[in-house]
Amino acid sequence: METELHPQEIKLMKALPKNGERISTDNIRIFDSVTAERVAYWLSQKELVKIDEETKTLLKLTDEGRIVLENGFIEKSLLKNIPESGRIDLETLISKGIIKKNQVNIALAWLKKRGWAIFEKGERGLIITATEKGLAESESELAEEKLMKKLSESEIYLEDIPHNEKKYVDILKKRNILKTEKIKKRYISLTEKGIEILPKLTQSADTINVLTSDLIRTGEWKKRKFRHYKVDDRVEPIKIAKKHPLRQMAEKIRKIFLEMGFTEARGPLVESSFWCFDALYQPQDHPARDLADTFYMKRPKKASLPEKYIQAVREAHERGVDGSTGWGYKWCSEFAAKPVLRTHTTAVSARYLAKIKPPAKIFLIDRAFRNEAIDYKHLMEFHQVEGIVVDESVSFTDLLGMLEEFYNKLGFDRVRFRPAYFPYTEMSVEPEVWMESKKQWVELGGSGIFRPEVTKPLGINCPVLAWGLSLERPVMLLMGIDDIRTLYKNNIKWLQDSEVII
Amino acid sequence: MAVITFSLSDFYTLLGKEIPLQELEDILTMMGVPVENTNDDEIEVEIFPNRPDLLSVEGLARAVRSFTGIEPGLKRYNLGDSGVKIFVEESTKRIRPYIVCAVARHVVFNDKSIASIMQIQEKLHATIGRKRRKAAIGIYDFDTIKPPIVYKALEPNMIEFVPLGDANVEYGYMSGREILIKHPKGREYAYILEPLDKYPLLVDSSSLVLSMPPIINSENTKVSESTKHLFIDITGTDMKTIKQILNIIVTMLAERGAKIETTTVIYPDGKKIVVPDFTPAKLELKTDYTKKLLGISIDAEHQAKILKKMGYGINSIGSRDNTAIISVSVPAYRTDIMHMIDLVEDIAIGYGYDRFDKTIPAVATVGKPLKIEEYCEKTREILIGAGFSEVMNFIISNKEKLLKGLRRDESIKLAEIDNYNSPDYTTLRDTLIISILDTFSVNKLNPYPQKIFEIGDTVVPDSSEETGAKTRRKLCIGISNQQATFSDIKSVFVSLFSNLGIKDVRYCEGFYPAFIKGRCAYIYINDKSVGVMGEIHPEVLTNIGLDMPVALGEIDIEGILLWSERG
Repeated sequence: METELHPQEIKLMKALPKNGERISTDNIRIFDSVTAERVAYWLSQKELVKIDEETKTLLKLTDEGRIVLENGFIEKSLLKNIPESGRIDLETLISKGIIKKNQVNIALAWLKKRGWAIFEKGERGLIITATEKGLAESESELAEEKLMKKLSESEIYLEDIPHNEKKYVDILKKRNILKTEKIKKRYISLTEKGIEILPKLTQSADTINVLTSDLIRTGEWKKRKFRHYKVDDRVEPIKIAKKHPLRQMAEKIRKIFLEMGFTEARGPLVESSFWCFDALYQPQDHPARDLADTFYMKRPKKASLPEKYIQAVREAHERGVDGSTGWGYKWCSEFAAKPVLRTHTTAVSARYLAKIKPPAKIFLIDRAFRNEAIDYKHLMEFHQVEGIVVDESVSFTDLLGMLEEFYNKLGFDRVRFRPAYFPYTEMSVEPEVWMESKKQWVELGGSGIFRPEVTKPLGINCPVLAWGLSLERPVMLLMGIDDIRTLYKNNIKWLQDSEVII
Repeated sequence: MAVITFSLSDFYTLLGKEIPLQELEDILTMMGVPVENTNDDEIEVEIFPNRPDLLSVEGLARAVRSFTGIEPGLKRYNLGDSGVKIFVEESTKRIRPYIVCAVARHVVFNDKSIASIMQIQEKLHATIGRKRRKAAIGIYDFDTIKPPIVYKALEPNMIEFVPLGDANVEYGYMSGREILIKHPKGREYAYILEPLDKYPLLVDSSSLVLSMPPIINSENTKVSESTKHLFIDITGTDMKTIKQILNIIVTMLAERGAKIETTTVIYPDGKKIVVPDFTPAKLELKTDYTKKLLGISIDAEHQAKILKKMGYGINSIGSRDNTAIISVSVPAYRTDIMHMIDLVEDIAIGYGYDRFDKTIPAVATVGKPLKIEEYCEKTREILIGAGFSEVMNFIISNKEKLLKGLRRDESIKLAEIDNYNSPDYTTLRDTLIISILDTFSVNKLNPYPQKIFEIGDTVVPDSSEETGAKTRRKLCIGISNQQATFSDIKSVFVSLFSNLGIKDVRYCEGFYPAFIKGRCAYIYINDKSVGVMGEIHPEVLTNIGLDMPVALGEIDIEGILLWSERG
């Protein structure tokens, strides 16, 4: 016989009945049932033991059952309270507190069923007279009570109850004293092959089970053989700590933009309406500025406005700049001073436009907020991948090329561009990628070239390519997630087990 | 987002030919009209807010006719004179000052055209009408009205007429006030009139009430099956917008063969305007501008041809300052053309977004990362190496949880949202401690020990900041286990600081109320307070529904970087 059995396996085999009789995994004292089952599984693969599975019905006392066990059956205690005369009327029973009103029906029914009492109508309601049988039986321990006691002391299975006692189980079940529960039981027995090799099983002193530093230092290992492992055995996976999938994607994108010579930007999360909307030529009555779309702040209540740009932005809105007609309404600086949770990272682009000199390439990956109810498609808080390219030489073909290159680098091979509309860009474009798994084009964000009404007031006289793309969407597409909320649930197991974004 | 629904067969009739559905979907998408849904004869498309002229099947068919070459160029509509006068009274000036009207004769009525008129009214009200506040539309059976018409404002109790009912309900006489209280439309739009002491009213020469804009028409002027001619009014607070809406509606009716006639509106100052006015706006397009912006070589003739395809009229192609200039007529129903860049976009759409070359911008710049992002990335690497998983939570949190939940003083001022839509999300977090505890609480069924961290932004009100609030990047590390002790979390910070090369760290007894007293430390770097750590107080754990100990620490990572840079 080969000696490739694990010490645990040998231990288990020796614990099994040598005649091949089966034994429940619960009853192998040297192992807990989980270990016993695992080791038995290894042995069964080697055809040395056999595992049988059986579903058994465990009998358990209900909460009510436990109360009855303590206080006795109601009909029994009722009978015990019948005075020497052998009769009592119902009213007295109730008024003395021997029995509660809601128990009356049950108690009477069982007294009758058991033949313990007879009833007649009296002046003060029903009169109960105990029978001989009743007086005798109510003194002794009932079969049901014996069964209940047994159940409370050990695990009893329905299958193990003798046939003639089964009726008591039914009675107790009906009285809601007992409930049943299906339980899977596993039994292990030695196979013929197992019985055959059992006598030869001794853990050889010659084999090395675990290599220790002692064995190495002393050179002892040279004299002995290594026990062979079964290399395809299942093992427990380990926990892998890693970055959040959104972060993995953000870092990947960050690298792409840094490689392309973009400078990283950052801006405030609580933003003035001015930078979030007005500087981006969104009229003050634009629906996107409604309470239903934008979070306005209760605190802080007022932002200060950049003196340098107020006049130019006002003019762009009221009368237009660079030959534009403008929106033609009266612009209100108080409205522009209302702080909001920025609805897009484009607010940061606007700030940078006021700061930089072309040529410039700027990007950021950060949060934006919308007043939306959370569901599988929407969050009130999400990330945007924002970018601008500011230079005299750039054009629409550059915008399309940039975005196509970007999505190719993220792993989306087919990209298309659809006309769209944003108040601050003209050409406005929505890039879409083809998802073969869904057989459809999926929209991933917005982009365009800033209107002169945006750029001129901020001091920029050349074209500005701009985009604000979703971070969550591509992560969902690459990871096969349909519910956007999954990304912010932070289930640690999911975080540890999910595949990395490469 | 406005979505309109219409019948495909009706669309084909208006178009004058049939196009296979797939092909039509492609054409619409590339025109900037994404198809949302198709179902037998029904099609649903999204109309972008800049194109209210496409909010009807008639308007859309007009655009497709020109786009597909059936009828390119500026669409001209005949305009007669109805002779109808509308007198505007001074009383409307503070209430709802502007009105324009038109008459449409021989209007074709069938299921499709009626549905379309209803739909465009609803959509225009919702979009550029800004829920009827800025502009509202009224349509009447012209034969029930005796011009001239007066537009005035009256006290609500002086107004009395029978408002329009619907298939289920008929109303009796109601006062202006009653309409706002009892009529469904009155209730819906009451917010516009309620603050006013007078309500606008449109009456004819026999004192018949046409409507009480922007709420409801009268039953007497209702359009019925026998209606042949329509009277249309647009009232509002912005003259430009109401003129645009009038043009959109009447040209849409004209697309089905109605004859449009002008009216004369006479304002209290004596000023007369004749509307509708289909005179196209003239705009000059520098063709070099197009070429440069689009990055394609496309000559003036080609640009002009595409502009016609997009429904514009071409007056002339000339040249000035070495560039060819196209003089363009903008259709009266287009409301979105403000600058020549808008023409360039239409050229791009007409050219086809899918036909453009794709180039990489030849703009040489050197990329520069943000210090704080680099610093955070390094910190993440260290913590992941130590077996901590990164989590990401919302910045919007809850005031109760942030203050009471963490046993903090409830008078602490936090950055709060005014119009929050969920009571769970009302306030911006000023600390990540709550985020880490939240994460533990959703992971109660997962195996322990649990080791997590978050690097993220917090916000606090700060009047010295331009926006009134300060965004601050923080780091929070948490350990939860049967035993999670002060020394467990301190070990993490000690190693983190030494890995980040931070020296001169001191730990002093801390009194942050979320931690157990005597098991909490404030962290000082170079004598600056940068954070706190310790064992979380059992009451805090109970507040969040946790029954497993948590040791946790939070530092102001942005502050540490700023101070270390300053030396």
